[in-house]
Amino acid sequence: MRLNLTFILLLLLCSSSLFAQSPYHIKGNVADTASRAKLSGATVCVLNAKDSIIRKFVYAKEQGAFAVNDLPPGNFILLVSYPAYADYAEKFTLDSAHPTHDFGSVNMPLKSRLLHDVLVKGTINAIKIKGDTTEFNAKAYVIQANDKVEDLLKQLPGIQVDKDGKITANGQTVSKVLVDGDEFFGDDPTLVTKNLRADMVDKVQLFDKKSDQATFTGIDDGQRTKTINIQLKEDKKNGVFGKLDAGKGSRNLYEGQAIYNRFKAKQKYSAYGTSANNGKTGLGYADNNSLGTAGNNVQIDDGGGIIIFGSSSDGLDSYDGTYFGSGKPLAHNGGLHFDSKWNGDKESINTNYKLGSMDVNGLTTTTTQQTLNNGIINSNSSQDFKNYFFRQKFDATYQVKLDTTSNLRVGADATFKNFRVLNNYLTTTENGTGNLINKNIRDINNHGDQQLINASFFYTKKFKKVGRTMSWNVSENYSKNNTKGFLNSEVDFYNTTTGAKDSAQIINQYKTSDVISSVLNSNMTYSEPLSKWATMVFNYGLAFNNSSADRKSFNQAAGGAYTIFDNVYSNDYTFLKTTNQFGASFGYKKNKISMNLGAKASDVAYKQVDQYTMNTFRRSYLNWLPQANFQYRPSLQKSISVNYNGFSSQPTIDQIQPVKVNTDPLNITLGNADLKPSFSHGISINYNTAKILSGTNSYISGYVSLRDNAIVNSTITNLATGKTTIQYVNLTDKTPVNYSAYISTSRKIKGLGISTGLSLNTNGNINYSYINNALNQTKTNSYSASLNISKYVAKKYSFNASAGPRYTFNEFALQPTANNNAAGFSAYGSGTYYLPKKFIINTDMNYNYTAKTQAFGAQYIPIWNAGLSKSFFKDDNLMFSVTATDMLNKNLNSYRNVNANTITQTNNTGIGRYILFSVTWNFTKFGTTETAKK
Amino acid sequence: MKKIIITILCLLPGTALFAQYTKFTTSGTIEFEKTINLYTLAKDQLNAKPDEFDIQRLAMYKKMTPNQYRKLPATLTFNGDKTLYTPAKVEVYEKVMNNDNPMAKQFNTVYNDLSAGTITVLKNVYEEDYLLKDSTRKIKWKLTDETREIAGFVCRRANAVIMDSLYVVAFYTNEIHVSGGPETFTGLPGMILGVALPHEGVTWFATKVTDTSVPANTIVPPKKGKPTTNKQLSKILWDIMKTWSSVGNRGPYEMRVFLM
Repeated sequence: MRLNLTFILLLLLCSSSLFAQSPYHIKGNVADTASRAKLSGATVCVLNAKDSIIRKFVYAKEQGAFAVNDLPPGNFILLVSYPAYADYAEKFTLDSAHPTHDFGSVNMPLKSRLLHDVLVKGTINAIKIKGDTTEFNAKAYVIQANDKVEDLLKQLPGIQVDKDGKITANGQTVSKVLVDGDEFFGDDPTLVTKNLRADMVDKVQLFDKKSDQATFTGIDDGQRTKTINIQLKEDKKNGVFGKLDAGKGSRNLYEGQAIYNRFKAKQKYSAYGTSANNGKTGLGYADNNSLGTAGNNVQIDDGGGIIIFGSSSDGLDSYDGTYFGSGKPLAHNGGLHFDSKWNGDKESINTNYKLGSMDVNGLTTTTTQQTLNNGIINSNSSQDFKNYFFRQKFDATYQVKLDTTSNLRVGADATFKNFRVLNNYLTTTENGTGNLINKNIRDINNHGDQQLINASFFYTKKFKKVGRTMSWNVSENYSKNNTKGFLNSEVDFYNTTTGAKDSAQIINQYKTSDVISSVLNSNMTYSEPLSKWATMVFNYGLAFNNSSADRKSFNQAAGGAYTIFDNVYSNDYTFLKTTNQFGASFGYKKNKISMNLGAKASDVAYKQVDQYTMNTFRRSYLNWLPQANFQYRPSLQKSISVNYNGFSSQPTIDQIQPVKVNTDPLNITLGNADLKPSFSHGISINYNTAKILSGTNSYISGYVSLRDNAIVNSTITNLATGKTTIQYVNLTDKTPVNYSAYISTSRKIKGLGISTGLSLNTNGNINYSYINNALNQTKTNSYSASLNISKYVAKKYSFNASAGPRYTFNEFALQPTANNNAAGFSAYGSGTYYLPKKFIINTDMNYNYTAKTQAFGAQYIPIWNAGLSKSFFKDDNLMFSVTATDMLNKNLNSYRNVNANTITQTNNTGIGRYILFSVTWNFTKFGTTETAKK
Repeated sequence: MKKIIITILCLLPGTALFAQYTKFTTSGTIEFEKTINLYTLAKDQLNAKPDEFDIQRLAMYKKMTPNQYRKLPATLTFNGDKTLYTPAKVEVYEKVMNNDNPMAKQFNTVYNDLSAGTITVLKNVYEEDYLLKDSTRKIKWKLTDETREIAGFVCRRANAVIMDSLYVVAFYTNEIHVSGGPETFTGLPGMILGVALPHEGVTWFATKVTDTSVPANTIVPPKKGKPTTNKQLSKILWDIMKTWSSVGNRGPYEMRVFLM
């Protein structure tokens, strides 16, 4: 009877369950306890008894009837609820003995005591990765013993590291690499990437660093610097690591390197030393080109002028320690770094000491063909040079957080340099028919020293109102430059028809130069928010540049001593430049749009006093620097920006009133007191898009600049004597133009793991100059394309290859038939292969082809290097290697240049082919007792 | 015959005397608001043990972001067993501390066919549209006796763990007889009006419920996007994101967010 009833009920209420496979089911009726009214629509849930998880639920049908079918056997809770009613809950069990359960009439009761709030303990992982391109977890990459940070970066998607160590992320150059948020050995990224070990890295964070001003004011100006922060593993923050590397090569070439680092909690100590005569001039690519102080010699001030401390216009050759592959260098370099934080990180200090020397000697030969409107001049010149440079630099930065709203940074650096220059020049000049015009022999023997001392003070303060800030920056730059030397020059002028010597000009002098410069600069900035999206920033700057240049020349007296004062080529100038600058800019940022409009006006007053004659030369200019930028970001992975910059450049003192020099008697510069400032406009457009999922990245940029009232060269060459005079003039009716356009796209071929890239590049310019009083227009256009593929399979192999053609067109108005139009082709390839028994073979090749031109024959330059290495021990920390550099011995160190009416080819002495045997030992010791003690 | 505990509870005067018949809603519109605690997201982007640099960055981010909470509206329309969840279009999502954090965005347009147990989601993954068709997510909800009122409805709390480790708290009302909810959260005996991911700093709460019937023909699945399934998409994402995380980890955060 009861079974029948159940069956009928089931049929009536839930016909779908008729063919249910599971015999377990329940049923019932929901009713109001008091009125017995049927509560149709009541929610009926079946929960697991043990964890309250919902098994099934139904809504009660008409008359409050419900049935829940297809249940498994087990212990359950029935939970019935109805709005405004209390819940009804009841435990029940279904098993083979009781496959069904009839609740009969369920009357809504009090809240059940059976139901507990069973909180699930969340097994939440501490989230280490927040995706995005921003943070890379080093653990995900294969890091081999002794890999450096650079090797890790090469594996990260979207990041490329070129052979010089330059890093590009999503098409943009990474200009800062921080270690745990701090600068390390200044701004040279390679000192981090080539020094620190990859296995110390926990995370690599790639982010767009906002400008200091934006970080401080909280007003986003849209300016970003791609920055990489290397986050070290906790257990690698205490330890000692480093590397010793020594190599001996053929032809007495060698290189050696030692790096030692000690990290201890919030302190880092580092030291390095290098010594080589094979062209390795330091650790990094920045060191490769200079000894790291180049940035201190030239500064572009806000007024648009250029401050050059070690003025080269004194006519005394000097040497700044740069090496660009010409000559045979012997370089020694070393550095110390220390940084520390204390007082709850409120105070920090960062100091560096670097010293280095560079000895280069070599021979440079130059062949020049100059086409004039009345003939051709050919000259051959050879320069035998022997240069030496020594430099020490110390810098320290102290930062303190005065309170939560204000910060103070005090920095100082001092550089001491000295140099010695020995140059012998031999120049012969002939006319188009091969007759000698002149012959010049010049010997220069100079030595000098230079001191640079800079100090700065930077204070920032934030006010309560968000976005209202002020900052004050004061800096003093002092430099002192002493040079002494001998100039010995003889120019013989020949009669081109008879071939006889006409006349001679002989200079034999001792020269001294003392240049002192002191620049005091103060700049204040105030920002005021106008609304949530708009802000105004005002600034006022005041700068004094006080300098003096005392140059003396002495002729040889009868006894051989240089005692006869030459007042023609001696001078003593004092110079004062006062700059007052006001600026205002308006920033707006809302949703997808950000823009910035602003202008600065600087009033620049010059005063130059000739201390011999007391003649005073004064000039004053009002310089305008308008700027506008606009950025539109339709999405996070896409952005387009348009920038405009305008600036006026005033003529330099040397262009207006050059110091009279006789160091190069064949090239003489004349002044032009009528020069006016020129004004430049530059517009650039950038478009950037990335698709993270397909690994594609595209970048388009274009740039055009125009210069009104440009200051151009006017050269007059005397065909008879070969002497050239140079004067600067304003170009009033023509506008020089520069342009460039660049498109690149890269993508990853997923299945193969190969990265590919294609780039197209064009640039060109239209420039003007006067040659023997005729206006010459030079047009240059060049086009190039390049295809790149690379693949990296850790511990197996890696390769990277790129190749592409280029074409250059030149056009000279004065020589319509002459051109240097040339096709060319460049290719670069490198590969590494891991052989068994810990042998590694690698090779790279650089191939450059330039087709025949009117002036030059075709040129093929393949430079091929290869190496084989084997590592030892479990951690591979000892490695022997053999490398062959320039195996084909084709590095000609030859440069060709065509400019207006001049064709030049320069050949330099190079290092050439050699083999190097080297031993490298990497040492590490981490997690030393310091951590254990804590 | 059976030990049934029957008790009368007089919650409201008259309840016991006159049965209150509720009109159960089966069609209507719910306005949702996704609230994101940006500070939590930013903090979670850092290491478990943040170092000085992290702390500095976070402090800077907080200073530059005075509004701790980001609110993003969305609409859920439903009729019977069909629901459609449509987020309001947002012009630009500001990054969260330089991170294009998907958790701080709404990228899913979700169509649910509850009776068929299928789901159609238009998923915008880093600005690429995918049309994901799959079965409805099975969530093992644990009911609790805790209630709270959301948009005028008394809702019961249920807890669950989805995707192995994501702790979810949901509040549903038994007055709306549609087993739907915001995003892909479904499977409770009534409409979900609130969801919180307490450890992730994200909530979805209904702000307004309109029970005006919505024509069935307006609740249609999205059509745009590259067709895919959960499995396929997870493979696509993993192929890219495996390089973003440590090997053997349970799966990167972003992948989880995108597959949520």
